[in-house]
Amino acid sequence: MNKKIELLAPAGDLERAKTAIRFGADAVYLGGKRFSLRSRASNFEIEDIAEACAFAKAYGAHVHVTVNMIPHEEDLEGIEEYLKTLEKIGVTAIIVASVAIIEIAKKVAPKLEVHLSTQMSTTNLAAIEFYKNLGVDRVVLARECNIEQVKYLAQNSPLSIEAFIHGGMCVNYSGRCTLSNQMTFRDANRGGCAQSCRWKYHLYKDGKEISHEDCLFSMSSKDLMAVDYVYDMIASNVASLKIEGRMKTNYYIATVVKTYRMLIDEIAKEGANLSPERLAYYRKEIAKAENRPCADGFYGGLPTHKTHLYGVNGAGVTHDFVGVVLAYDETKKLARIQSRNVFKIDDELEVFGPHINNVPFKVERIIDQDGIDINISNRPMAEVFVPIDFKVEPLDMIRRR
Amino acid sequence: MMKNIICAIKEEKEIKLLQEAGCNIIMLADDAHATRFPAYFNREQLTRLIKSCHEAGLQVMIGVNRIYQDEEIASLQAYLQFLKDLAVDFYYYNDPAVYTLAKDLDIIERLVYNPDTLCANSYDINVWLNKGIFGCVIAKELTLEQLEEIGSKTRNSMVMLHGYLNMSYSKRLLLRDYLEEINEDVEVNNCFDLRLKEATRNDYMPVYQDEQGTCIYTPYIQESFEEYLALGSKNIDYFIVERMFLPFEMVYDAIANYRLIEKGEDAKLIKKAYEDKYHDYPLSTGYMYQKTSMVK
Repeated sequence: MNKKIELLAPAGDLERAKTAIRFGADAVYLGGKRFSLRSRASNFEIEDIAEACAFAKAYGAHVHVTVNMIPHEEDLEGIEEYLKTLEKIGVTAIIVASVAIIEIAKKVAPKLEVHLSTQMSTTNLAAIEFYKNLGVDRVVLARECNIEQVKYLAQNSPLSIEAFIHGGMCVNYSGRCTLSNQMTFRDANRGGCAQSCRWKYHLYKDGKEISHEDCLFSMSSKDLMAVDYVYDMIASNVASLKIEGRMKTNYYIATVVKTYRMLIDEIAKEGANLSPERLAYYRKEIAKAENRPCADGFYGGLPTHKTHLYGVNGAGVTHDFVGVVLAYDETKKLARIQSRNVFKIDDELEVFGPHINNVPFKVERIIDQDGIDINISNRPMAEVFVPIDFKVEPLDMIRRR
Repeated sequence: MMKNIICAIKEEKEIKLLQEAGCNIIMLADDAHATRFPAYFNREQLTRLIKSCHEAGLQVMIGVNRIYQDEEIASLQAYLQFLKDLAVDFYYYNDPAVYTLAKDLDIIERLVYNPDTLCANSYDINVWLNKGIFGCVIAKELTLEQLEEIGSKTRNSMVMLHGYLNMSYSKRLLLRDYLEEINEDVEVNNCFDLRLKEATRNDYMPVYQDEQGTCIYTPYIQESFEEYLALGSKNIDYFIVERMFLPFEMVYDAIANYRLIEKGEDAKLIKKAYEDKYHDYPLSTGYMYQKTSMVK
């Protein structure tokens, strides 16, 4: 059993990197301005990556950098200098989807671990053997493996194995899809994916429509949620559990990371899988931030129509994120809060953070920056003061119950 | 110098006709180890077909282009041994597992790597070539200029010359799932008459589902009549004609036309005649002159 299993979280920017680490991630992965997918995520300048590395180091955590675009001829210009810089500033690993970049990294930045991206769709030991001989250190498995296959690979692979446990899923083998290229001229494999798979389509057979107008065909997958499989992964020696979502919000990152942190720690402490009630508790915690319906992907076997989204895509979060604690005056028992969503007098809220778990309170007063009592905080990013009679810490988050 | 034109068959009788048109490498597959082929053949049929191709002076490329799970590797290994015994000329693969197994069988110099999107630059292709394989299929979402540059910096590179281009490969049975959702009982496996139309657009994309998953193709048929010689002059010697969803006559004419262009016939006139004859079909030059963007 790998009780030291890594919890790997996404970070779209420095704030989210710090949040993920503070809320319990052992490592974060992020993208630089070049050579990375997810161009719409607020990708990092080198200085930001260096700051993330320093922050991570203080927490005993690591930074992985995505170098996972599938490069065209001209895209590789500057790659050697970039990799050398990543190595120099303390990045632990790069996530790669190009055999050329693997070879270059091994030559110019040998201290960087090379993790094979899920874009390479690795599903078997014979393929892992090939990548091992290229110098790869870790393989991120294709999301098309079921849990028995993940267990088999983790127990028998000569390289460490990373598996997804949460987040959005490509409906196709990752990295092999050009739907976006065709439909929007945006290159899916170089950061421009328009997620055309999630659009609506009419389906015809022999020229006659067989789709239903009120429920058109779509290739939109429900998000992955692998709460029920974390024990199997820990027990079978998976090295790293990965959360998808460099585009997700700070609140989402905090909630999902903290939930899986607690789940992993509880399994490690028990040395066994948890009861159905405890697993249900963790699923419910994730629902507080997850805005898309979830399913277990391929882990339970070949997905069925129940794992797809054909109609409305959003499930809606069960708990609204309303603010972040900026400071707390223990004498006055008064929190300074940055407002992120509307809240008002008498609202039932709860605080969660790295050291506090869903402690409830009722909003008795809201005081604006001029010291005037107000009934509602409805200006985004406004700072207000709210009495809370238990200790909270800066960057703790507040949500509506 | 005559280039190599590669095409799959749907029926046994097409071999002779394709050869007559100018095809010199025939693609074949079985249904356990390949996907996205117009027809699958069992071992007995493959033995006969490979033999008859060789007797006719044709080379044979076998599709082993699935992504495999560990429990399928023993079967794949046995299949590769079976193919080796038949002296298959090329193995067309997607999963590096095939490379590992082929190395043990000492046939890596016959491997052709086609991972759909991953061979998009000469550096990646040369890593594979340095591992001893025969060649790679260059990603199809590249411009003519990019294809030419990669061709000139690599050896034995292959390009998709003609036909509908595959855009996606899902392990999910997407059509089956959808029909279950809407409670319709329609046969969709191994059907070539299924099309998708995005809700706000007017073009139709062929979609194909078999036991291995679901694939979607471009709404157009790529033709490269005017680009063929340019590609050939840049060290590209192998050209694939995609057989999926096309009537045989259209494939036959296309191959015959490329051979005519090779012999000096005017590509513009040939293209015009082909367009006129097949005016009901959505012909396009695909990505040849259409760059894709890296950003949203």
